[in-house]
Amino acid sequence: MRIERELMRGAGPVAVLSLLSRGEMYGYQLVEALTERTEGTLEMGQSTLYPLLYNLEAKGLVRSERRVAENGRTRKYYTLTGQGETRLASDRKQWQAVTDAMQSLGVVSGRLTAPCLAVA
Amino acid sequence: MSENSKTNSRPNFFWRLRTTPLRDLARGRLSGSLDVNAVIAASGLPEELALLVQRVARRTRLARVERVEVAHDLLDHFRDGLAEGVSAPTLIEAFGHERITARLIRRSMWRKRSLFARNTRQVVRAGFLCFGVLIVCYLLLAIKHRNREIRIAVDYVAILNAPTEASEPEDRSWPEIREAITTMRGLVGSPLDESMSVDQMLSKIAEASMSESSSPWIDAELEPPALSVNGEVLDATVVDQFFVAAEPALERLRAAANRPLLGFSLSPRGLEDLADRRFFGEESQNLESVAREDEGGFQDSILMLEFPYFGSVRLAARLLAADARRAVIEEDGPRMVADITAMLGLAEQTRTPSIMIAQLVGMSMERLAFTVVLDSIAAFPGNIDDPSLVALADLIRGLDDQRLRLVVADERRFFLDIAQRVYTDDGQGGGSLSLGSPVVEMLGVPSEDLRPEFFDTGAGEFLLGPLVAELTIGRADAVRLWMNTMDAVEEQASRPPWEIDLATLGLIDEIPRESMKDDLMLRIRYFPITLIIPATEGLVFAGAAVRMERDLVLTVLELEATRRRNGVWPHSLDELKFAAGGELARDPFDGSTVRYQYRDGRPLLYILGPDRDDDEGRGMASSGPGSGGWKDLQRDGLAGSSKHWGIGQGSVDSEPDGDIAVWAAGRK
Repeated sequence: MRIERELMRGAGPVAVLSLLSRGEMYGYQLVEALTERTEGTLEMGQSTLYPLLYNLEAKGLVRSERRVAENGRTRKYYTLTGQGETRLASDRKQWQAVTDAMQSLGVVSGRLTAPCLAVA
Repeated sequence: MSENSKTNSRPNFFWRLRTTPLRDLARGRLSGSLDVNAVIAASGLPEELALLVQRVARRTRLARVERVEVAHDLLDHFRDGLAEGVSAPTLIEAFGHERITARLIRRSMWRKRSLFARNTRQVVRAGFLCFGVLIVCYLLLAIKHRNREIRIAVDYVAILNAPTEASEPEDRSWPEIREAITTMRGLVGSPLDESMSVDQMLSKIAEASMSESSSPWIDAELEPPALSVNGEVLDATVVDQFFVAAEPALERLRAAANRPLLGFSLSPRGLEDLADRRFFGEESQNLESVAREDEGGFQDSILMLEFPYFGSVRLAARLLAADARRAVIEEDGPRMVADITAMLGLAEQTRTPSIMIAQLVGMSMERLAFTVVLDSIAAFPGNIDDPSLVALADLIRGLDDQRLRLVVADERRFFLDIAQRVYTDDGQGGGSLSLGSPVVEMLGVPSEDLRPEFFDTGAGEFLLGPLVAELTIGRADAVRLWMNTMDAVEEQASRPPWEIDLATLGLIDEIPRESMKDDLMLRIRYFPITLIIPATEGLVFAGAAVRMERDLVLTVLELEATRRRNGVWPHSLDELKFAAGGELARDPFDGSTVRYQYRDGRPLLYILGPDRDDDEGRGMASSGPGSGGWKDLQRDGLAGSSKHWGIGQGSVDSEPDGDIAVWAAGRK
């Protein structure tokens, strides 16, 4: 299922922040995780992911570090900053409110089940 | 070079230097780590993926260090994908749209930059944008400027020559003047020294015939010619013999002066009449070569005209003046009147064409004629018979204000001719200044700081031409300013001296001319008006002085007529009747009638002087030759007796005390 661009623009950052809240990840890993854990709903290509990561970095919500990985190659790893954690908490509350509102309107039913993206 | 070859080509030293971070350079390493192509090539990715990364990185148009960062991220991503077993085509398909990706990456990377860097970038970008707009505007201006052309539509030289061309040969005086002077040249004998030309010798004879006692003028006695000119003494017999032999030539001059016009044919190519070339000693001049030498835009213009005849007609007038003086001594009144008539006739002819220099030359001849009359009446009043005295008064009275007025109609044409050669023509009287070589060569440049050679080049004209055209006033404004100045000159010259307002002549577009000297922008704006506009202050006073001197002559003639009626000089100017017309001369310093003193049987006419205080005719103590005082009081031959007649300027505080005598009878 393809998500509308406007909706993705709002969901993408919080989805990435949520993934990074569990630990550092590199770019390809993020793409894979998003695809797998949302069953392709929030699938992102590089054309979306890397500009998004650069924006989050510009806002100070994530930080990156290039280092040699276990396989001997250099990779850039992204981790959540304190500011990013605060933002994620705020975004979760907002998404919860939106979800509740949508549920009460009958637009959506049940709760989000994807473990890593579930609102705490 | 293809993208592929770029990727695989070995970078040279300078490229590596350019792509090495300062940090590495400081450590003495020429790493070339900012070389995006090298980074991509070193990744070992399949070619299609490498090229994709290369294209995206290039399209981000980011700084080199940022492009390398983006390339690293994308390369890592693809390597991870390949390691996971995803094929290159699948990775490319999942990548998304290159151009959009590059744009999104560019924007997000901008956001990563510091606030200072972002603002600086915006400022620089805005600066470049403005500069680009300026360049485009200037190029449009340059094209517009180049598309406007100079069009020489009017042959003003032909207009100046029209009266001569339309006249019959027998109506022209110049050929007669030329022949008369040629005849007299043959009568002068040997010049005093080898360096002296024949005309100079003629002039010497005329001067020696007029000179007498030096100033103070009022004590002068009319004596035989001093025959001394600047310490050189002429033989009286030579002078006498000359004038006797020259009588036919002088008669020819008198006849010439009675013709309707001078009829000298003006040409920007020089003297075209063979007789003129022979007369002025230019037989060898090749007109064709002269024309070819000047390829500029002025070769047919009024600006190139020369007026060699001014010197000749002035010489003719001086010879006639000398003869008039001799006629008075010889008690030959009719001849004296004929000479004065001829001088005034030549002066009138010389005033056409009505350019300023011609007006000045004509006026100087008129004032010389007046001075001869004043001197003659002062020294030998009885030598002029009654009919001649009446004829003289009628002659002078006939010189009304209209006849003596300053006319600068052809001076207006002078500028119109320049304008059509230096300004483009929009067909409606407008246009802009064109900085072609003729302008620079003929008129100069607005500032000495600007090198004329630069304007002279095509590139210089293209680059600066439109700018100068926009910075300087247009053709319509330039013509308007010139015409306003000419209007002011004619208007001021028609006033009596005490009413002349010099302020109007010192303004260009309400801006004082003096202030323009120190302001480069004003000099550029009013170029070339400021360079060629003439100084007209002296001209307007000269115009006024001629009329006042005429009135002085009429006053003196009336004094002499009264003396003849009563047997003595009048005790007061109230005794003057002016039955035949005319009026008392006026004092140029205050506008009242000229002052008169009858003292010890001698009449004296005087004006107040710059202190504007009546000292009952007492001359200024500091005046006189070599005194260094009021130098205008010095007498310089006959013409000096009333030369300060038109002076109405001066301040009370700074000028010497005393009056200025303008006429007095030398004998009791």
